[in-house]
Amino acid sequence: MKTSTVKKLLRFVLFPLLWIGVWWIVALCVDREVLVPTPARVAVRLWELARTAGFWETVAFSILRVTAGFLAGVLLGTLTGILTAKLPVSEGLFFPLLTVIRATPVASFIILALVWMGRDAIPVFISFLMVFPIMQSHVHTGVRAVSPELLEMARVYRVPPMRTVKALYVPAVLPSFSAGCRTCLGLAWKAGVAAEVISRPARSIGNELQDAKIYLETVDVFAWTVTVIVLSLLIEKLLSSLLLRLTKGGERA
Amino acid sequence: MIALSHVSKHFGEKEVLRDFSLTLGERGITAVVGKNGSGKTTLLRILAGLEKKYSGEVVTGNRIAYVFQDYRLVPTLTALENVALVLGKDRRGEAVGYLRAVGLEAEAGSLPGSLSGGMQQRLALARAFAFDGDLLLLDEPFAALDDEWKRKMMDAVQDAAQTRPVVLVTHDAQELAYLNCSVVRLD
Repeated sequence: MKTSTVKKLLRFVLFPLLWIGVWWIVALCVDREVLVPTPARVAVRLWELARTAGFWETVAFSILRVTAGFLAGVLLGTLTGILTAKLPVSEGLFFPLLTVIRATPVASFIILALVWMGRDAIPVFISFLMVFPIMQSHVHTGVRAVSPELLEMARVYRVPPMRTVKALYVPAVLPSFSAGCRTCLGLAWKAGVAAEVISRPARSIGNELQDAKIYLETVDVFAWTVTVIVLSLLIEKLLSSLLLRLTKGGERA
Repeated sequence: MIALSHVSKHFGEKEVLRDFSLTLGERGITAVVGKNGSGKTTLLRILAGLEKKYSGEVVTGNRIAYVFQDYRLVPTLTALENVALVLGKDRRGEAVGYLRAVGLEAEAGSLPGSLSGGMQQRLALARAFAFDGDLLLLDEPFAALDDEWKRKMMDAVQDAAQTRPVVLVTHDAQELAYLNCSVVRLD
């Protein structure tokens, strides 16, 4: 067997199984399902949930909310990053806003959002707030990384603006843009679900988690948490392959 | 007509050009020589419109091709794409012909980073020839070339100078001897 295959087997099968084994031992030692259910019990509950239409509807709406906030954060963060990199005065203008967003605890924003907006919009808003400053920072750094010497060359040779963007800016910005997206996706998920737990919009994973907690259905808490983890991994994988294609396209621009 | 009249340029306390005047003919090579820091590259940058703060008057070309001392090739574009970058949409198919002229046709798909220093310099020359400007600025454009390619590229520059003025910065006496050029000294 090849070394790389062995490494993959260890990384993606054996080591995860080892940690599930640890979880199982802990559950058996505690011996109280209300505190730590066994992996088998959680898997059975997850299977039961997955066979209902409501589960998929809940999952779909949570994905929709987090994705909407994530995309809005990526879009506005990217535009602001370009603006602050190219227009020094705007960097000063946005600095207080970005500092406040970064420094404010997410719980404070969730509580404020409860006052300001409808329940369905809160997870979108919170995911957006997590993504926006990080994307701004990554894109700002990427735009600033464009070689001034190459920009001079493009100016002398009268390279049209769109061609300059494609040939010089896109390849310089894409690596930090991709890194920003990867970082933000995980944050958007965690913050989005946390916002759902507090704001409790109908048809949301956060609402299901909160219900499970209230009724001490720890198995359900674990089942929904596993759902969030699996979804997060799947979406990250999807985003990674999209970004890889985008990066290759950008390098060949 | 391309001309500099009583041009002075300072970088902080340091004066790199002092009351410098030069008029270029409609064609031909003007070689600029001088020791390091005498303002040769600054002179090219002023002619290229890349230096804005100076005193005096400058009338320069509309379309300027510039071979930079550090080549300034786009590292993420292939050799062919680097040449095509400066061509209009209708002329992009001509890029391969300019690569052929500098002996880089086989490297058309290579990125600049995978080319030798001499090849990169020839690629920068191909890009300048492709642009077809009304003024050609060359900052030590043969420094990395072997003797054979140096002769070929000097012949190509000589050809280009039949239809436009060329300003060449050099430290090489052999280049001055080979080329049919007038010489300007900066101290």
